[in-house]
Amino acid sequence: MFARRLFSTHAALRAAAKAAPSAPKEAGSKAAKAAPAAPAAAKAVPGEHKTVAVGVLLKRNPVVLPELSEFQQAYRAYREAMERDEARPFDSTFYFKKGSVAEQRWLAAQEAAAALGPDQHLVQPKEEELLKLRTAPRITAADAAGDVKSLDRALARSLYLVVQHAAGTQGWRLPQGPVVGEQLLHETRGANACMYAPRPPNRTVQAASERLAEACGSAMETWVVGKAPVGHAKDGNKTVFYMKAHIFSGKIVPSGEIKDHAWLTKEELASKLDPAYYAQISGMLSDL
Amino acid sequence: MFVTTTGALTAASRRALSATGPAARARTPALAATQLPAASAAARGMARAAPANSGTKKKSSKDGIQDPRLQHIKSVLYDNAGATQGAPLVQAPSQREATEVSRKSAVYTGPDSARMQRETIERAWCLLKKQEADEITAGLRRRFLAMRSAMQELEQLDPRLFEGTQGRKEVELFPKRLRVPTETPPMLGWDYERNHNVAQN
Repeated sequence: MFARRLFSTHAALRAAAKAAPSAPKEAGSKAAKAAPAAPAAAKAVPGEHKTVAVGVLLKRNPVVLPELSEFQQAYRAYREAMERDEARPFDSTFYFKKGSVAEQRWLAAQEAAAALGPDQHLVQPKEEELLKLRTAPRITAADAAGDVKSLDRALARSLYLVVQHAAGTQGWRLPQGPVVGEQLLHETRGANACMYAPRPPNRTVQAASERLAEACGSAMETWVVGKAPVGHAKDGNKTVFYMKAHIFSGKIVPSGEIKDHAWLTKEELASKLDPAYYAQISGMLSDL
Repeated sequence: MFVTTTGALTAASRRALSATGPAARARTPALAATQLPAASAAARGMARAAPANSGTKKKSSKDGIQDPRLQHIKSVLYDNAGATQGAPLVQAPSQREATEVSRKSAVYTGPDSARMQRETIERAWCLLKKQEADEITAGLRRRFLAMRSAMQELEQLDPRLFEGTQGRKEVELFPKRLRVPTETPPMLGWDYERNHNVAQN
């Protein structure tokens, strides 16, 4: 029941957006000022907030642990060797019953390791299942190809979504949209549609940033962190407040509002975005 | 300089790490794990005790001969006289050094290259850890200040939206899919079609 009402109001919004004449065609100078603010500036959304817009800092967390530097690896090997050197000798007769299968497996594993080289330390006998274990590489094909639309790239780093809105000439930005009517900042349609959180029955406000989720598609599983924004940026006469969200699975299905999108690390954002804009948003980006 | 800015080792540090490691002290091949001179005391105890206890089931405390298993357990737990795994024939240099170090003064009083090298390595590691911790703290501070300035701006611009940021969400569910980073990525890669976790019937 509530889903139907959600979609009906959503459809009404879309209809209203299409019906309203696009601003760049009508008012020249006014549109030039308002166009950098939001895609909604091109299509006048009824009840749109005049001074506040909402954006999303959509983040894919690191998938793998960070690589160790050469010093860290050497130090780890140094400490392990020292620990082995100063450890008490391992008495297998104490831990394994004489003649048992476990003792035979243990001794066989030590002999196999000793055959590899003179300076070997104790090894655990490996199960057959562990020997057959396969692992995926940390550097993927997307890394080699430099595919910025792929979420398999830069697995040890965080990736942030940046888009190029179709309307206006503002270049690459974090996704943003208008705040309409009685909406609050933290409710995004993407989060509520994909997560398990049911909509409270007495809530009459619509989800905020419906246009935002509409722009990026709802084929993503996202989660908005809390109710407070994590940063802001001034954008013409509007101030965009960014909500932090995580993406767990899915992909971007760009609609007509998004011309292009990319998933970039913090350093790549610094080179891709306008320097003045990057200076405003760099505070809320994670280092890793 | 011990470590360059990129975390790579300098030539001097490479020499230090290889020279002071146990590999340098034990140039002769290490004993295989199956040959344990430390077990000799226990073995002697067991060999001595076995013939005497072969017939008796109950041991009286007046005999003075202990259960060989107790002897074995004590040797495993407390036997310090045995050689270590890595140092074969030289008599336990690490143990000897450990006692000597405790008798030396804590303040560096003269040239002792092995000790200096070890201390330099540990100092470099402590410095690296401190730098990492400082970076983390600086990142946290930066993100907190960005959030605070956004909240201050929002309070000026729109009180209703500002009030909306206070408190917890009405329905707060921690996301199950929030994944911890691992050594290697999942075999299937990123779940673009959102069908990796669906039970296959």
